[in-house]
Amino acid sequence: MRLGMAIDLKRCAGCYACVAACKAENGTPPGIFLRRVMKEEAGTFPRVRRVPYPIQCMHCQDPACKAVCPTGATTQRADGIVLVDDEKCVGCRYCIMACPYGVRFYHAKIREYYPGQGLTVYEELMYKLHPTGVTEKCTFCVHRVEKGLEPACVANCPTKAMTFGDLDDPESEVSRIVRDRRGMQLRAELGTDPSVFYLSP
Amino acid sequence: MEVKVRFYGQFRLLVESGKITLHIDPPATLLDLINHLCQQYGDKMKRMLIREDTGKPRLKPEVHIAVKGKSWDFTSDLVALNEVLGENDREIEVFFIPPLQGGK
Amino acid sequence: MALVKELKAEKEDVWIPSVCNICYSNCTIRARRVDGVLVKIEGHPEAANAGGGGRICAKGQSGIMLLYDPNRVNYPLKRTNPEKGIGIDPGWQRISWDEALDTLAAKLKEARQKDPRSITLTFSAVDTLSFGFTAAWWMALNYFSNWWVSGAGPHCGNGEHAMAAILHGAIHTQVDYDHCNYLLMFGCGAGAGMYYNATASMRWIADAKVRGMKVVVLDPLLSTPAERADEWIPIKPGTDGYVALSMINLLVNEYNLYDAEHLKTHTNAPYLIKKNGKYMRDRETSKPLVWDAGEGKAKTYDDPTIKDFALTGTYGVDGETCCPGFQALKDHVKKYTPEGAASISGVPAGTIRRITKEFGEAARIGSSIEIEGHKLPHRPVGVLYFKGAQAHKHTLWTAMALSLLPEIVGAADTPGSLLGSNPRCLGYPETGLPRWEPIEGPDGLLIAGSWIGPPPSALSEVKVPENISLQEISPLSVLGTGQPFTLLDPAKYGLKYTPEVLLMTGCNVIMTHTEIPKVAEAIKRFPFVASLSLHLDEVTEFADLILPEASYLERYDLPQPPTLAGYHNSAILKEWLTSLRQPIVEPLYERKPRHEIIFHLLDKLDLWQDFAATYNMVAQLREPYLLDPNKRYTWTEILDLTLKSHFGEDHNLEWFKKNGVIKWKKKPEESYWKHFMKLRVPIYFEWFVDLRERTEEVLRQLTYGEELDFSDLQPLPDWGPCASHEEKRPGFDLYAFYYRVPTHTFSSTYNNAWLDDLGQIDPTVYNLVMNEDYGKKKGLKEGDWVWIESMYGGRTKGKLHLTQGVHPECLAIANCGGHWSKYLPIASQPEKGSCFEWLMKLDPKCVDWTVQNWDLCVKVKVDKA
Repeated sequence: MRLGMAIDLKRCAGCYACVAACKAENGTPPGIFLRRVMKEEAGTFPRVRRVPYPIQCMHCQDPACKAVCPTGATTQRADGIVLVDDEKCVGCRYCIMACPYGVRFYHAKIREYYPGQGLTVYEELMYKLHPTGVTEKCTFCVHRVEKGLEPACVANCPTKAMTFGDLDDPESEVSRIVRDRRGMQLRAELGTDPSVFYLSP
Repeated sequence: MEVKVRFYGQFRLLVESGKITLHIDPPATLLDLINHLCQQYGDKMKRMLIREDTGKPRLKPEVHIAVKGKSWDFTSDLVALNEVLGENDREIEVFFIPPLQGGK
Repeated sequence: MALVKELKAEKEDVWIPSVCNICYSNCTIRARRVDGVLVKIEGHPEAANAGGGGRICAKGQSGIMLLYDPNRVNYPLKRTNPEKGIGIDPGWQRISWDEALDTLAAKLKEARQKDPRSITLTFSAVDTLSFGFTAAWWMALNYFSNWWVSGAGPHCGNGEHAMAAILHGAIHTQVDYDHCNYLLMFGCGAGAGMYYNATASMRWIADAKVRGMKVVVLDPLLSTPAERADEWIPIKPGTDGYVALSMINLLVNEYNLYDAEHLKTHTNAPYLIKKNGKYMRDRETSKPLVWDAGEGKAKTYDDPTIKDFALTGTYGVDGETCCPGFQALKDHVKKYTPEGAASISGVPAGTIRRITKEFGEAARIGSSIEIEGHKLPHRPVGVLYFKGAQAHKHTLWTAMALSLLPEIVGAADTPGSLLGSNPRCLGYPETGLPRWEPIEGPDGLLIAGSWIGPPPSALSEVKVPENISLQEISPLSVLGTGQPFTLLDPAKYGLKYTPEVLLMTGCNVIMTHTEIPKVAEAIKRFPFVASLSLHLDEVTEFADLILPEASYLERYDLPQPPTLAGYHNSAILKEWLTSLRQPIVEPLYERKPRHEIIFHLLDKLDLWQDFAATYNMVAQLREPYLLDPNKRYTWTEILDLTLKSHFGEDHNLEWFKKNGVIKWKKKPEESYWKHFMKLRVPIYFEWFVDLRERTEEVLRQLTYGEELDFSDLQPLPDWGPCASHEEKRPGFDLYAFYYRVPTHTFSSTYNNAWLDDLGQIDPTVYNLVMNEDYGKKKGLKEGDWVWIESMYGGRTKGKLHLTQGVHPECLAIANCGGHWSKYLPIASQPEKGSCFEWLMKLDPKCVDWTVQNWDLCVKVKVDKA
C-alpha cells in the first residue's frame, strides 16, 4: 500500500481553504503551515499566467529527510506515510535542510497568535499537540486516515481538487486519475519519488 | 361593522395614535377599508397607500396589509383586495415598510 | 506523544450544525466542541448542493479566531473623553449592562419623542441576521426610516442589483454552471471564494471547467478568479461598458448572432418605439404596439392573432414613424465599434471580435435541452459582473450593457444561462412557504416579487427625500448612500428632523463609505452614538456607548429563508435549503446576542407590540404560530414558531438544533421560471424616459437638485468616462482601483489571526499591486513603501508588490486594510494593507445617482516614502 494524493490544478481555485483546513485540523502555531499554496507567475504582460500549486510533505517513497535523520525520529510506515516521532527528534534540523520541498518546520517555542496577549483557550488545547524543539510536517492527517477519513485538506477542498488513496492499487481513483491525466511529481529529477502528483491545469 | 386598524411605521406620522376604530357597512372588503381611510385622512393617506396612475390600481410597494397572518402587498392587484372581510377579521394592520421578500 | 497526535476529549466531544457568517454567503457549517472549546469548523455535509457545498472557505474555518480573539469587546463601555476624532482615545470605562441599557433606552426614548426618524441604524450587508428580526425592530424603533448600510454604495452592487431585478426578477444573478459552456466575467470574484455562494460556487465552476466550460475574465488585475480562468484579458478600469456595447454591436449588426425567438417572446424587443423614445401605444387600450410582419399591420403586444413579431425595420403607424425596440438597439450600438472599444479599453479589437464570436456561437441559439421532462431552450453562456466593472461614474450604463449582452442571445433564466438568484420560490412542499414570484407589471413587463426594497419597475416612484440616505430620489438603487452629504448639511438637504441617535450594529462605515475625514465628521453630527460591537474598531472610536455583542458562533439565528433567500440558496436547479444558526458556545464574558439586547430595549421602550406585528408579517408566520403582540417571547421561542410555521409542526427548533438543515428539491418551474410564466423583460428600457422626467420634476423642487446628475436615465446605455479618465495632470498616471481577495471579507476580518497569517503567504493580499515594468521605470522595487496621492488630494501609504499580472496603468488595492485602531493590534500593524477610502472624495460628482453607486476609479501619483 502506498497512500498518495493527486492535486488537480484545473480544479484548484487558489483560495487557500486547504491551508486553513490544515491549520484548523492540526491547530498549528503561528507561521507553521503544514500545507501552503504557492503561486507561480510566468510570462509578461499581457500574456501572463499565475498558477496556484499547493505544497506539503510529499511522503516520498525515498524520503531525503529520513536518510539524514540521526536519531531515527523520521520513519516511514508501510502505507508510505512519513512521520516524525517527536520523542526521538532532537531538533537538529538536518531534515529541514535535506527536504527538497521546504515543507518541514522547526517549532522553536510556543508563540501566541495574538502576540503579548496570552494563548487563547483554543491554542492552550491545541498546542499540546505541538511540542517545542522538534520538527513538524504534514502527516497526511494520519489520525483521520486511521479512521477511514480523508486528510483535512482533501475533505474540505471547496473544488474537490484533491484525490487521496492507494497509489499501489491500480483500480483506485487516485491511481486512475494520475494515470489518465499524466500526473507529475514536483522535482521528480531528484529521485525521491513523491507520493503527491499534480495534474496540469 | 366595527374594525380596528393599527398603523405601523411612517403611517404614524399621519395617524399619531397608531390605532383607530372604523365603522363600515358590511359586507366590507379591504378595498372599502382603503377607501374609507382615504376619505378620513385625505390625499396624503391615499398617496401613501395606493398607486392609481398605472391603469391598474395597486398597493404601494411599501405598504403591507395584514389580517391574522394573511397579508396583501403590491404583488396583489386591487381585485384581490375585493376579498370580503370575514366576521373575525376585525383587527387589521397596515404597515409602511419596504418589501424584504415578496409573496403572500 | 509519539507518532499519531490527536486531540482527545476529557468530557465532551460534539459536532453542532450551524450557519457561518464570516461573509454574507451564510454557508451551512458544523462545528466541533471539545470540553467546551470550539476546535473546528467544517462545511456541513448535508449542504452539499447549496449553502456551502459541504465545504467551507478559509475565512469560514477561521471563525475560531474571531470567537477567541482577546481583542473582542467583552463588557459594556462608556466614553469618558468628550472629544471625538480619528485617533482620539475615547477613554473607555467599563460599566454594567444595566447602566448601558438604561442609558441607551433613555436616549432612544428622548429621540423617539422628537421624531423616530431622528434615530439612524447602521447595519452591514455582511452581518446576516433574520430579515424578519431586523425589519421588526427597525420598524418599532425608527419606522424603518433611517439606516446606513455599510458599504452599500462603494462595495455593493447597486447597478447589478437593479438589472437583476428588472431583467431577472431577482436581487442578483448566478450562472447555471451545470449547463453553461462559456462564462465571461467582468470585475467579479465568482468562483474564487468571493461573490455569492462563496464556497459552493467554487466547486460549481470547477465542475463546469472539467466538463469543458471556458472562462474568460476581463479585469485590470490578474485576480484570483482571473488566475483560474482559461483566459485573462486586461482592461482599463471603467471601460467594461464600452467593450460590452461593442460586443452587442458585433452580435446584432455584424455576426447576426442573436436569439430572435427569445427576443420576440420574452422581451419588449418588438414593441414599437416612437421618435420621442417612448412606446407607440394603441389608442384605445394604451397598450404598446408591435408590428405583425405576417399581416403587415400594428397590433397590441398581447394580441393572440400575431403571426410574426417584427424585430427590425421602420413602420408608419398613426402617421408616425416608429421602429421595434430591437431596431433602436441595433441603431444605437452602431457607433460602438471594436476599434473604438480598443482605443478606450486597451483590449485589442481582434480580441473583442474573437470573444464575441466565441460567446455568440457558444450560446447555441435555437438549441434546446430536456430537463426533468421539459424541453427548454439551451443557451449555455453567461456574463457575470460586479464591483470591479460597475464601481464607476456611469454604473447604470455599464450594468445595462453588461446585462443586455446575455439577454440578446437568449441566455436568461433558461438552462445554461444567467439565472436570477432567486426570482421564484414555490415554498416548502408541505406548507407552500416561503413563497414569492415575479408579477406582471405595466406593459407586460415583469416586476420582481422579492427584493430588498421596492423593486425597480415602471411603477417605481420618485419622492422628495426625507431619509438621510436620499434613497427616495433613486428608486433603482437597492440601498441609498447619501448619508454623509445630508448629515454634514441637514438644512441644505431639507431634513425635517434633527439626527439624534446613531445606533450601530456590525459595520465600520468609516472605512467602507467614502472620504474618511468627512465621514468621521458626519458621524460626529449625532449627539449620541451607541454601538453593538465585536471589536473596538475605527468607527466605534466615535461611539459614546459600547454594548458587547455575541458573534455568530455564540447565538441563534435564521439568516436564510423564511425571509429573503437570495444569498444562500443556489440559483441552479439543485436544492432549496434552510439551516439554523445556533451557538457553538454560550456567549463568553458579558457578551450578549443582539436579539437579547434589542428585546431589552423593546421592553424598556414599550415597543413589543410593534415588533411582534411586523415580525409576523415579514417572516410570513401563519396561524397557529403567530406571535401574540401582547406577549413577550424569547428569541428561541420566536424561532421555534417561525420554523414550525414554515416547515410543519415536526420541524421545530429542537429538530433544527439536532439536524441543522432542511432541504427540498428545486423545480425547473423555479430556476427556469421564464418558460412557465408569461412575463417579458426590457431590452429597451422605455420606462427610464418617464422615470427621468419624473425625477427631474422632483429635482427642481430641491435646493441641491442641480448637483444630482440623472442624465444617464435613458432607454439604451451609452459609455461615458469617469473623472479619472479625464485627469491629465503630470504625475497622476495610475488608475487606483479596489479588488477583493479570498482570505478577507471587506474590513471585518483583518484582526483574525489565522486569516492574517494566511494573508502573508500571498503578496497580493496586503500589498499595493503594481506592474513590474512601470515600477522599474519609476525606480521602485518589490517591498518599497510608497505614498499614494489621489487626484482628489487624499493620501495613504502602502507597500509595493511588483508583478506582470496587472495593467501597467493601474495600481490595485485589496479589500479594506490599513486599519488604525489600537484595539485591533494585528490589523493596525503597518504592513496590513491600505484603505482605498482615503483616496475618495465626498462629492456628488463621484456618485452615479441613478443607482447611488460610488465611483471607485481614482487617478493617483505614487512616490517612494
